[in-house]
Amino acid sequence: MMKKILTFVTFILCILVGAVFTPTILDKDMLLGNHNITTPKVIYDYQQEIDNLKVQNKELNVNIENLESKLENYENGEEVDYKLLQKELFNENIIYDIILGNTDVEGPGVEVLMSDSDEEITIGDDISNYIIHNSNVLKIVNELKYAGAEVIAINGYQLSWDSNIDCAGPVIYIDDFIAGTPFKIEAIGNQQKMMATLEADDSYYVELSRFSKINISLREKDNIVLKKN
Amino acid sequence: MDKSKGSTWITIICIIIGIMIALQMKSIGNLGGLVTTQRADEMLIEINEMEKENEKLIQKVNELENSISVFENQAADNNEVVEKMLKDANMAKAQAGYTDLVGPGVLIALDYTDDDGFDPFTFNSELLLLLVNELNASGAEAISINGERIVNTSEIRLAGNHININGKKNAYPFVFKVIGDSKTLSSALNIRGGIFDLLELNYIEVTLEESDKLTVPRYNGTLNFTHAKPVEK
Repeated sequence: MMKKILTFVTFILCILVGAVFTPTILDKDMLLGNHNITTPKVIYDYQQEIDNLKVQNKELNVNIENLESKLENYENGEEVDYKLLQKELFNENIIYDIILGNTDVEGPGVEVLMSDSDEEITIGDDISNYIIHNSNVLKIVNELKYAGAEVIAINGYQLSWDSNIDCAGPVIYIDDFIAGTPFKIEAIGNQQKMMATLEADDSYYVELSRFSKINISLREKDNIVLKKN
Repeated sequence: MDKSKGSTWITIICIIIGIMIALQMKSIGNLGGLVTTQRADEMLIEINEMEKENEKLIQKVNELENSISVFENQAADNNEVVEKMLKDANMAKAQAGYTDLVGPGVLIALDYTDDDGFDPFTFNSELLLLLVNELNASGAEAISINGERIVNTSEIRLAGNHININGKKNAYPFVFKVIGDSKTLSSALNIRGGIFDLLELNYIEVTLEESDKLTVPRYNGTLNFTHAKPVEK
């Protein structure tokens, strides 16, 4: 009698074990075949794609608007209006000149000053905590770009996309330009946006100013003039 | 005797079941819980629609640019000033990243395969920035990351738990297309203690492939300066 009950209990337990296992195995199939159940990661990836497409479509729409108005201007008259064409091309070339750093530019913006620490170095301290590295400068520049900076210069040298910022012992090289401390990083763009981004809690600027020993300061500047390279 | 033997077995089986339930809960928890596909299906439809729209828009941009360039070229044939300006503009356009570029170079893929929820790219987001810096130092002429051309205003920054490039969200794998001297590029990247070693130290799988013909896509954003103005002379 006792044995029978025991067998029965074991049987029920086996069924339970089976019931516990089944969903696990089924889930895996469903995940692979994308059936009724899915993970938040999939939703997250889709959301990312949707957001990106939104940004892309917005950019393209602005592009189309600009191009359409340009074409309309061109095709307005019966004959080709060379003056208008020259003016358009002149304006276009000005924009490219700014991008490529071939012209002096001015505008409102912010200035970040970075210099090595003045604190006395005690025995056992790592000297690299007291000096500025090229990656510090690189990340501050990156953050300014994120905040919508239009033109950025280090110690007066205008940066372009293919500028490399390299460590060279006591100085840093930016392409062929040699910059020593203090580094003055000037950025022309929307002042409020740049200040807000740099002063946000998750910004690299805040990280440096709070947790590293180097001196770093930020201020708004109403008119920054940058000479061409 | 029989009774105590039975309860021992039941105890053991109960422990096993407990462990199983706990494991299952944990594995589901690791995936972030389960949700129905309804939302995913809706999103998929949305993505499809937007992709179609995107294609249409790209086509329209191309058409408009074509007709503008036809117009400008015709005008240039009759006017030397226009011809010179047009030449300058086209050269500058290529340099600034507003045209597709074709040339020899390298294809770099960065990936991470372990499915343990760790993401070395968001954990250490400056690695991509350092790689771009290193590419520029070794003479890259054009760079794109996951189809996003690197231009003056391109940022590579951690935003939430993805990496923003040109305002678009990106996650690994990252594919870099770089135009330049492939021999120089690959030796500069592979140098001992160089950037590839640093990436591998951060558990990133790096593959580099030299290619004779690469196409680096153009930057699709607009070029407008609202704050920076050229200095009047």
